[in-house]
Amino acid sequence: MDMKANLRVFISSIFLQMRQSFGRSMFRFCMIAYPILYGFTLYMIYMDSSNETIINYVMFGTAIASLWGTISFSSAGDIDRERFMGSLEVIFNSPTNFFLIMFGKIVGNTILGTLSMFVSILFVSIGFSIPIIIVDLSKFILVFIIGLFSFIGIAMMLSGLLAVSRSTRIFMNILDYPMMILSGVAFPISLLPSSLIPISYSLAPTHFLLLIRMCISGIDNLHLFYIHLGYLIGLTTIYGILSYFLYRIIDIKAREKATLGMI
Amino acid sequence: MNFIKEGIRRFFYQSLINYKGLFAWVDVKSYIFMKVFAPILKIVFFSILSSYAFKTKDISTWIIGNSFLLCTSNAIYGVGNDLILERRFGTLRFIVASPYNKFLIFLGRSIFHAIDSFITVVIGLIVGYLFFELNIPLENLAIFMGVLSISLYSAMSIGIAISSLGLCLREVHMFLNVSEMSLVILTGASFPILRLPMFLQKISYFTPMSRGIKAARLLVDSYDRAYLFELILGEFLIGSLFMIVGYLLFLYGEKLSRKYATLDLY
Repeated sequence: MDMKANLRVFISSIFLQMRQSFGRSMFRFCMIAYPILYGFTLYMIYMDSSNETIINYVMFGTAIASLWGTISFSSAGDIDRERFMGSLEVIFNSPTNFFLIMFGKIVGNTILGTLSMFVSILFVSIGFSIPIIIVDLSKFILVFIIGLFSFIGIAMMLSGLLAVSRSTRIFMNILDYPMMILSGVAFPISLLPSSLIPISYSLAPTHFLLLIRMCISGIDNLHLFYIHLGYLIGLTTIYGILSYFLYRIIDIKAREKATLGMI
Repeated sequence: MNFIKEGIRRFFYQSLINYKGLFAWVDVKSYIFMKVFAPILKIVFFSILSSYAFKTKDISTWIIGNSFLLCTSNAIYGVGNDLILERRFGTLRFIVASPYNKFLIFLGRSIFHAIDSFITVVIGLIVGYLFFELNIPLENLAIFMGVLSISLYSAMSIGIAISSLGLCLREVHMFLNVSEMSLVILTGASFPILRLPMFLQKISYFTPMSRGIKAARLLVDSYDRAYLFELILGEFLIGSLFMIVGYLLFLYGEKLSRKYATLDLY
């Protein structure tokens, strides 16, 4: 297929996914209700803290948790849903690259996930009169865009894992809390035992959050900023490469064992 | 005598069958992941968060609150989802048509969930004891377990009310998830209830588990027996009220569904 046709499939996949996702009540919960209820809970916990802490851990903590829910969690479940509906084999056997279709689906979820981030930020800001102050806006936008790519990478990787191994489904359901603990969504990672810090630094969301917090409060140490940015870009690239290979494995396994659509 | 014995046997057998049929885990691995690892991680998350946000090392209050709330996986996604799943599987009509006492059906459905969630809550408390210095005085342990049992009764009763209400709604996932998060907010498990806006504090007063959590927290320190008894009694009454409301809602739904033949429509 030529480039133009691929692009058309990719864009169609994005829009179809957005329509399908928004039709599911669980996705609407992740996108609208979760940011509000989780933001409210975190604000009640952090009520006595400074505005900066509230922006860092309530406003952006909720935003990242919502983004995680909508992009990674929902996207990873998409393969499972397609399998359950019996359409996974159809997508897989279509002339378009399976990876490209799944990539489109995940980008569709990312667009909706970004909206859920805005719901969180606006809710905390308007609901509790917390002004949104971002000292370094240009770097914030740059980090935000790279961060979105890293979440897309994670989602592609998780969806690939789910296609290869069905037991990943159970693992998926408990992934929320380890991610929130290790990446410092609601508290600094310095509170974790030292043995967990290396694991924490091997996750892109940790660097994403550290960079976002630096941009909010102002970057004191530019060298440290670039180190974390390097890690974020590096890890995102690794996730992308791993996803590509996982989808290659899916392709081989599906032809070899013919068990792609088995629930 | 044999008639009563047979009745009790059937009651528990039905409860077990229902638990296994609608809430069964695929295998032991799934059960361990969902009912052991997930609660441990949740308690670890909320313990670190409480310690940092409230700037204290003494987080017993929050460990107890969050451990008690671990029962929501059974109360809301188990008991609360019960009738909704029956409808989805097409078996709700048999329950409605059966001559068996509907109240006993309700009661039976929550028994194994209560036992299961008891284990989950204890796992949460053990994590608190091992890693976050939670210390429940040994002499208060029996009363603590009593408070936990009444709180679980109350939690299951809210599950029954949710289950009946869920039959009237299409957005089931949204409803169940919002119910779970509302319990986190309204019970004061993760932050003081006094921080809530006044109207939510009033709703919290009628929320199941809020008194049970408060009573359990008292047992960690010295406590006034009369006040403790008042809290336990209040919890039991609120639990019973929710159970009755849930049952009446079901009866009302049943009546409407007989009239309009809409029982399985969703």
